[in-house]
Amino acid sequence: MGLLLQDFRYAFRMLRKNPGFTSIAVISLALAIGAITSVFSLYNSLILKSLPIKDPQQLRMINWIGSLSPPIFSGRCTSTPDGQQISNTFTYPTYCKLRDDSTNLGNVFAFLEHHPTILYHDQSFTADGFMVSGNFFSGLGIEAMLGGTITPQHDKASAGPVAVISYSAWQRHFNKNPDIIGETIVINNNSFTIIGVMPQNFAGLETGRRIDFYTPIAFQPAVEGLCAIESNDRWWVQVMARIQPGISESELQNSLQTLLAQVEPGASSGEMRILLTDGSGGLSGPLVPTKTKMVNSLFILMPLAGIVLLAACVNIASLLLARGAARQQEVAVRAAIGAGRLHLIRQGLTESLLIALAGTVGGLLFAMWVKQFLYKMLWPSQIVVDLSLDVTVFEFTIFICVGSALLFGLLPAWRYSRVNPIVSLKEHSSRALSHMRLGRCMVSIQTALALLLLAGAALFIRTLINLYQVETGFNTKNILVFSLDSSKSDMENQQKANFHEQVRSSIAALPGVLDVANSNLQLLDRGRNETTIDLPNRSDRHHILLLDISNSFLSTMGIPLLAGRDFDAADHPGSDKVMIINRKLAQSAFVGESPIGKILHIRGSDYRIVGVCGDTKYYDLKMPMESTVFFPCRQHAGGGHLTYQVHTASEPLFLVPAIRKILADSNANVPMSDIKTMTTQLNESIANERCFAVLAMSLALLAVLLSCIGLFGLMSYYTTQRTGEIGIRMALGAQSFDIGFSVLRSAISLVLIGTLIGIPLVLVASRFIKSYIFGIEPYDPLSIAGAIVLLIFVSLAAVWLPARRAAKVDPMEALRYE
Amino acid sequence: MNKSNEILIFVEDLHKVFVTEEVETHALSSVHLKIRKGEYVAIAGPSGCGKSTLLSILGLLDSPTEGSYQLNDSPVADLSASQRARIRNREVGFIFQSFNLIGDLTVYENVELPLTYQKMPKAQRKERVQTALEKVSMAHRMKHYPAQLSGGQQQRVAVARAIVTEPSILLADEPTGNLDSANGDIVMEMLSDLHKSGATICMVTHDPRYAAHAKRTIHLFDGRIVEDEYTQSEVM
Ligand SMILES: Nc1ncnc2c1ncn2[C@@H]1O[C@H](COP(=O)(O)OP(=O)(O)OP(=O)(O)O)[C@@H](O)[C@H]1O
Ligand SMILES: [Mg+2]
Repeated sequence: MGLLLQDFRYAFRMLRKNPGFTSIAVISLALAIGAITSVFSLYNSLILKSLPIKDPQQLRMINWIGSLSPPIFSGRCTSTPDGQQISNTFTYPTYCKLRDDSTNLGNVFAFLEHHPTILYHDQSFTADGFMVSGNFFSGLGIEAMLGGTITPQHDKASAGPVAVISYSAWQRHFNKNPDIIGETIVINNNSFTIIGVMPQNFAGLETGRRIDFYTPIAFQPAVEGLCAIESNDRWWVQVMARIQPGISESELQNSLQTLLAQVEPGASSGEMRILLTDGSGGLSGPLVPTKTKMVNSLFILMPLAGIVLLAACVNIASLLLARGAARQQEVAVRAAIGAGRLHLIRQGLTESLLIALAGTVGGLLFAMWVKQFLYKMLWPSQIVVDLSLDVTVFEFTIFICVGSALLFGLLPAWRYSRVNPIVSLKEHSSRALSHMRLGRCMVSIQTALALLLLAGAALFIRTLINLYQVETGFNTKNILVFSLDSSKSDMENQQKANFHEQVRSSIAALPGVLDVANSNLQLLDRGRNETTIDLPNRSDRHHILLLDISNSFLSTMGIPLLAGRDFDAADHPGSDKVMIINRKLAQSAFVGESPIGKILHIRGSDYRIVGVCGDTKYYDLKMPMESTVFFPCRQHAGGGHLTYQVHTASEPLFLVPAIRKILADSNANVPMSDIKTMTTQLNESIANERCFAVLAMSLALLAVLLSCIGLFGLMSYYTTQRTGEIGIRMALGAQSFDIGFSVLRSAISLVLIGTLIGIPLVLVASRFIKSYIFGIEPYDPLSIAGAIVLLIFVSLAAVWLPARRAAKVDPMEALRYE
Repeated sequence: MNKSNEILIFVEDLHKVFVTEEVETHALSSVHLKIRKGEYVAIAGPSGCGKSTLLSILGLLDSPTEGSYQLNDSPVADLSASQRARIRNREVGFIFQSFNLIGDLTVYENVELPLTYQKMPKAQRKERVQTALEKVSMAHRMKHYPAQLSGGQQQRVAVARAIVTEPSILLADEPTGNLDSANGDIVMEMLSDLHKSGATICMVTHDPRYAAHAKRTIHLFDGRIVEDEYTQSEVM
């Protein structure tokens, strides 16, 4: 123990004696640890973190898997590769059965995700909400921060309607009003009394999404009107369970399967099996796409951050080796007076550990700062993430700390201990620089790693640029878009249609408006409506996308009409069913003949083609142009949730107040949401790619910075080490320029070697990111060449100072110390 | 080499003052010195009297604080660093007490080094290096690294490096200081041989025995030349 303390004290003294080395080592490590900690805390909050409730590991999501197709289904559904469906909803009676007959095994509770319109003090807005069973909160084991939660007494259609709100809703919509309990809000035209506010750390069950309003599920018929609560046809209830302590998952699974078989014939015939997934982190599994998407990104970002850390460790190792060379004499003396090899290794490692500790502290501070940056990056995509550093993150950092200390400390410590006292003490004028050689090797490796990251980031950035340059097929400039949701208002269907017509003509009359249109979906908003049809001249079924649009949608969006006509007032619900198809469909369906006037059979009805328009991107810039069919809004349901497009003469957002006034004057209680420009819409549609490109580039630049620090550090050591030699060379007549140039040259040769190592790494690694890039080949010579040029350029800058210092060596001084 | 009476080095009223932290050291004061081509001059004197300082000024490693210095009839006191490097490379050969070979280069490369600074073609360099190494009987160790040589051998390589450019003058600062007497003798003999074949040599030494090799000994004391003595005797 005393020895250890002595080791530490000595190590500390050595580090203090070399402030330049120490700070370079600590800073580069802090940057790398900060980066990996940040990415890990993202990973932690998305994947590892449990819900802020007691015993979250007891929670299970109850899904089902099978080939069954329910009569009417709402919920999430995905297919497995072998053609089975995984789905997450049940009928309400099934839920009751599961709940009531498994009480000895667990607590089964239910909820419905919905997106209601909230009205409070003349303010209407839309929010994410949950309609929950009476045992939802007790099942989760969470209590309200203010007031109480929904209980089984509240979960009856006959009970007084109550609601629980999130802390964030309390803050944003109710000004943190302490007297909020007892206030009334209107949710989809039904009044609810607020009875509680949830604690701040509880944002709902889905990572990345915040649920603001909770109401009893018994009010579903009134609030959502999906079906009667006892309906056996409609599958709409999501179910979770908390397993009783001591009960195994398979026991619960078997018992639920048995119960299901009693009410669902499909469950007994094997068409439907219960699938439990972990619920400790809230909603999870294949049915949670945002999470899956972010997790996928993390699977790339984690290794990138890992490479940065590796680069930092290599960096420090090379500095330690270089310094080891400088300290050979000292070590030789120690060895000569009897220090054992193990002792020397331990001494070296102690120093590494001290550096790692300092780096970790710095890294945690850096991570806290990066967190703000990450928040800002993720915010536009509406993803809510809790990035607070918790015990898991802390443990991870400790692991990283010790791991990196070993990683960068072991080799130098071993080299350090391998000193041969006789050789070292004998050598005087000539120094063996083999330590330096290993250090140079490390710098090359580091360069290779930096190249790897840089080339990777270049691919992501080119992907982003390509996405920006994708031909959308429609105009994105000076277009204001927003949604009006009249589906929850108390108007009749015809009234709703008239309302939208009225709004459209009022907006059209506003000064500065060139054109206005609406549609059932916003382009590039990820939503899509698709089906397959039979084409007259083809045997296989053809996949098409569908969009309901108003008159003048094509002109508003600048989509060219290639043949036929646009929709007009004559296309009303009573007239012939008509449609406009895009060029792509026209070309695949009608070879060599005009599509105009032809009939296609879509979803049970015949539609006559009246026009052909240009191709457009629909829901994803990355998708190729697809066959698309446009229907007139008015011939379709067309009355509920509509998205608007307004083509303006100048800045689109200036129009918003005028449009709000039109809505207020209409007195219709229809909330206006998703207000943005089409340009913003486009940006949001690639927010993920942008976020990814920026993060990858940040990490790559960090790696480049580290490799520069490494190169700078090594070259500085190299020139200090060689001061004597430089003096000799100058005495022999070397010009300053020769000396400076030789330093630059040896640095660049290291970088070039690194590049040579790096290129195959890039080629191998690019295979793994194939699915993340767009519009370029993974073996993109331009990205790689760009990365190499940048690296060489930056490296030159990094060694400029040491080279200049070398060139300025005074031969007299140098020789005196020799 | 030319053995005429031409003046190679002409130094007049040379001063060198070192200023460090308010302390002024007059390392050299009013030194007058002429060295003719083909002379073998020893510089002697107690430690700290300015021998090394004088030698490095003569070798254009350092510049005087005051005074004039003509090498081969051209003034060299106020040249730029790059011009001085050029002259060092072509006109001066240094031999140091501590050999000062470069540890990462082989014997061959060490000797070749000054020639590479002249941008001499490779074939010609090879010939010159070969000749120089043969002169010091080290040709058989061409591929060795300095660490693999004895001190005496290292100093012989250093001599080869100094003569490989066929300089106007050889400057040696206590070339035997780190050697035992046997090795010291070998090196001194080598210098005598070089002198006989025409080289101009200026050597700092403490050892009167070695100083006796020279035809002329300059005694320095406290930065001044106190005696300039020509010896007649021809010592073996
Ligand atoms: N760069 C310098 N800065 C300050 N003082 C110096 C410097 N170089 C030499 N001196 C001083 O100048 C004086 C002459 O030094 P020099 O090295 O020429 O002595 P020397 O005769 O070679 O001695 P020695 O026989 O011990 O080698 C000494 O007093 C020395 O301290
Ligand atoms: Mg001296």
